[in-house]
Amino acid sequence: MTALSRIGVLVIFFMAWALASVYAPRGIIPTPEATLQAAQRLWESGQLWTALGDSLTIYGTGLGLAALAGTVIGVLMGAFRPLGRALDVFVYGLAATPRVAFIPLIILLLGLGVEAKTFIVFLGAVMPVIINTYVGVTNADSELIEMARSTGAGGMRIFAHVILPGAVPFLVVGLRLAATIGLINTVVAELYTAVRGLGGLLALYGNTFRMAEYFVIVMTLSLIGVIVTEALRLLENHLVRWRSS
Amino acid sequence: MTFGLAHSMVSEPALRFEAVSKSYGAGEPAVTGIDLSVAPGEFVVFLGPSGCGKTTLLSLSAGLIKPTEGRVLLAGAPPVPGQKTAMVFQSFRLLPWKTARDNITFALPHLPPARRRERADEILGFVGLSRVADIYPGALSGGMKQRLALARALAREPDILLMDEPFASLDAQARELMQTELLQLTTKRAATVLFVTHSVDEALLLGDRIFLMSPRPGRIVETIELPFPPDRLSEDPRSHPEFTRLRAHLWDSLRDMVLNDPGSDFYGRGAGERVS
Repeated sequence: MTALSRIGVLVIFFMAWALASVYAPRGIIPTPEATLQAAQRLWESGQLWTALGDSLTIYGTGLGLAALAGTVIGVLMGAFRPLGRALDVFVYGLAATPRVAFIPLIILLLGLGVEAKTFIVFLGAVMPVIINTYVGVTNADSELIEMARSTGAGGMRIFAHVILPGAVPFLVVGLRLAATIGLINTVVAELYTAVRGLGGLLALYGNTFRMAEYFVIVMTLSLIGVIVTEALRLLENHLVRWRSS
Repeated sequence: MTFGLAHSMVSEPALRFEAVSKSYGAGEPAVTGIDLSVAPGEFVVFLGPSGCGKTTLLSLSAGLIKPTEGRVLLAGAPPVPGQKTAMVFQSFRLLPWKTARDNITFALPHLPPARRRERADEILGFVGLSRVADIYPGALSGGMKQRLALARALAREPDILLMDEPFASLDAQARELMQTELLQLTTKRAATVLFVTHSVDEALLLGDRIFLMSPRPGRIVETIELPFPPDRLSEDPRSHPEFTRLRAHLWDSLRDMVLNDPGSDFYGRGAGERVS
């Protein structure tokens, strides 16, 4: 049923697109056919593959490191309350600062290459993971902790069996936010540093008004977004399977 | 069941409070001047309105908190959490991310891993939950959750079972069934039970002895030895004439406490109709 209605939405979208391409002033919205042909050209020339490879490497590395570091930092902040209280204001402040503001500094420090790009992705993605993990750990259920203590469980056992599993739903929400911000920052990084990857192609075709090619890149980016979010949703369903039952 | 031991002077008490007071921070103590002794195999009930420190007494017995004054002794030694006691809580407190079986094995860290599972399956059978061993608590009914929580406590084979209003969040029918079940379980397997409740009927139905408590500060105001035969299952004490008398007496005492407690919602409500 859901699948069917989703296909319905997709059909409506393509129809609206086709209509818009006919009625909009020339050169703004390409027809679906033109876009498909552009996709074929980009595919066959290998340009799309190279760009996709560049972007996914940056995105995957940055997001992966952010997930790892964010979880560790968030858990440490939550487990050692004085550390958490000392740091949390600054973490929230940093998370609220537009990360684009740091790009000139990052370029000075790391140059224009892969390292700088990966770091821009990392910096955007790590914040929601830290914050959500931290909140998840500090919100641990005090009644369950007391129950665990009454069975003689020590700190490590309580942490592993009560506090961490309770923080997992928060962590997954953090990861989903990180995936979205990470993808945005991938494109931003590619626009602001050495212009490469999907962000590079976006700039190239956007600036030269080759709208069919431009649309192909935009749709590729949405497709990456959809695939990653769906994968994380499946991961969430698995990790939090005790909830749905 | 070893109710006979309750009145024998031979054995050491399972639990002993000596002039115990407990304060949380400054202000009035939660409980004060508590002196009591529980014999092995005895089923004692702490009955009282909210705020009388019943739960504090259980936490002290479990060793989760230390008395501010006085001593708590479990078979002669201060209690250590998880050593001789097991607790059952009103809010079940099951780990939602562990299956029924794993909730029990979690409470058995002192056993070798292979034994834990065996023991869990044994006790699940004992309380009739074998078929939900692999189910998460979220999918269980209130009555099943409480049976699981009880099974988790029993699996530890505690010398003393500490029960904090365990059936208060169940509906009337499930509560009645659980009370019967608890009596059956403690008959099959001798255990000393400390049971906290604010239900007069529950106290009379289950207990060998009732400690009536009064609030602010929490203290024991009366100790009642119940005259009912130990076998509650075949002979319902509710048909006993003493049951009616004690029930009325306990209700009167509780009502007076609540009406005279400035901290209660009903403070002063009964002043006009009662002459005291």
